Amino acid sequence: MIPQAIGGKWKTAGALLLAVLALLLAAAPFLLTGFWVRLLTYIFMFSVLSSALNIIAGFTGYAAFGNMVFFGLGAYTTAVLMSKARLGFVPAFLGSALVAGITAVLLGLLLLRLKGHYFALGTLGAAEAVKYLIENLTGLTGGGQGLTVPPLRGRPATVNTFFYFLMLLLLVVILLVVWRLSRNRLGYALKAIRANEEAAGVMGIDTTRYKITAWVLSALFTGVTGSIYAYWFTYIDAPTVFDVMWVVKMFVIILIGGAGTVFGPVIGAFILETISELVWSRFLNLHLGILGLIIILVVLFMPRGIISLVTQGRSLLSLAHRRRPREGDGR
Amino acid sequence: MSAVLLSGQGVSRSFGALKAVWNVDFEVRAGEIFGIIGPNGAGKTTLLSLVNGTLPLSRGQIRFKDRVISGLRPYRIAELGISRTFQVVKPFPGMTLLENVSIGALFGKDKIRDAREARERTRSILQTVNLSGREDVAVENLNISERKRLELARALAMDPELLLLDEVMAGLNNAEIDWIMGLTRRLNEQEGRTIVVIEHVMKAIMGISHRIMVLHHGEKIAEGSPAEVSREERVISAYLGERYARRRGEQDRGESGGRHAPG
Repeated sequence: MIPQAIGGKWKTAGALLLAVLALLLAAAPFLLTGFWVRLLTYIFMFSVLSSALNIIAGFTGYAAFGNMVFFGLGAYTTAVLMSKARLGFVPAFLGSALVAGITAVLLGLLLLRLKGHYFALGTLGAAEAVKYLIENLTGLTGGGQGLTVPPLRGRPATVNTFFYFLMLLLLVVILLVVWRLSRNRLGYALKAIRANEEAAGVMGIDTTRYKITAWVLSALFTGVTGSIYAYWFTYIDAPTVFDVMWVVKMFVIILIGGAGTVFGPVIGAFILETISELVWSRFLNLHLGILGLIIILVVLFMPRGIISLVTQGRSLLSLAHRRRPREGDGR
Repeated sequence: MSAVLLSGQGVSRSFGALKAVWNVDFEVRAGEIFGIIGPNGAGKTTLLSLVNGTLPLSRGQIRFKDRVISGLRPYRIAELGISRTFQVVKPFPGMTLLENVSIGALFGKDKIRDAREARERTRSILQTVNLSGREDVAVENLNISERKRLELARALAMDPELLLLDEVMAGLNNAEIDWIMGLTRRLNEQEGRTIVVIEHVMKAIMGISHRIMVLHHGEKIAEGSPAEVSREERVISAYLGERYARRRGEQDRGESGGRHAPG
């Protein structure tokens, strides 16, 4: 009885919190200055990218260090389709999703046979190879000069608001997908693969198929984020959109927030981006050092991420409430 | 005689120069409990791994019902209705007991699509293996007896026609062994599951098996009812050493006029 009442209260409080949050997020671009709107959009972008990486790295246990290959391909597909083929953003966006998804299937068939470090290195190698390929397809991609994308026309505030809501929408979609995944068959399969791949196979899980599915999901979201990025920044070049440092940052975000959890990457992205913005503006020379310190502290004291504070706190609370009636009727 | 459910012809597996399992023919009939015994390193676990596909065969063929299963990947064999437990238990860490067992229901022979339905199936199986009330425990916190039963529950959740049990009794006390023996019989008699058992606890495997196959250095040295097998001189010498077997033979001759004299 008591835990149920508590559960009900939690639920109401959660729903209320969610409603307030939604209202704040919807109002934000109309209340804040352009700088803050862009910063929030940037945080949403990293939340999506980290959530996408979380599907393959956090849930499935495959450290896809080369995940930027999908971002880069997504960005370039949109840039080429919009600047060379003169297509609109929507078909370019879909094209990016297609290219990223197909690449993930092909790379997955090849690389998902590898495990641990070998897989991580394999994906890095693949990402580098694709980057050089793109840089050398000068006719199509502009080579080292990069590509300029026809920008979205409108007042700066309107443009900012458009990308803010687009990225927010993408974030909501990926959170819904990951939330579903955390409790459906696919999610169970991925977690089993992460825990013990051999035992997973013995229990009837077609490990190859599920690993590829996970990576394709991850690639789709990473690819379309690249597409939005290209349209948003209106200029891309290979060293930026294939930069492995992005993935390093995503891993840090996942670690800070909590790997293999639904909201961990979002929490991580907000914390890391906010801190790095604050630190960067005050300590220009020290900011990488300070970030490093934060990472060390998190790994040392919260190896399961900040979200573990919430989940552990809640399970302790429910435990305390569950124990009480049992003691009451003890004979 | 009932139909053959699982059979192997010339089943072999070598690791380099070591012949772990060599040229073994066997038949497991539908509805029986088939025991496999043999000293350490005889190739018992290797044989199970060959059956369920976690190890590829070097030579030979394994059939389940009317199809060849050697060469299929483990998940396909699992889908066909063969599940196994591991001697060294392999729970999925980071998941609760309920989640661990649900995997079997979700991906085994029946492939229950709905997570809620899978949980229902799981609850009834946890009852079968006497783990009710432990659903939400993290598997890291289970003791050895509970882990062994978790292993069994996961295999059962897949609703197998053929259940391969690899030393589920190892490390358990006498009362727990008796309970598992009873459970194995119930699974066989009431649920109609065919069971292949590897076990070192002699009284247990002799007590529950209908037929027994004895492996030694990867080869089959005897097969038959528990009583037949335990009279075989080759089996006794494999287990207890040839000197003991010889001495026992002499003793027997002295006491009862050579009833079990070697032929």
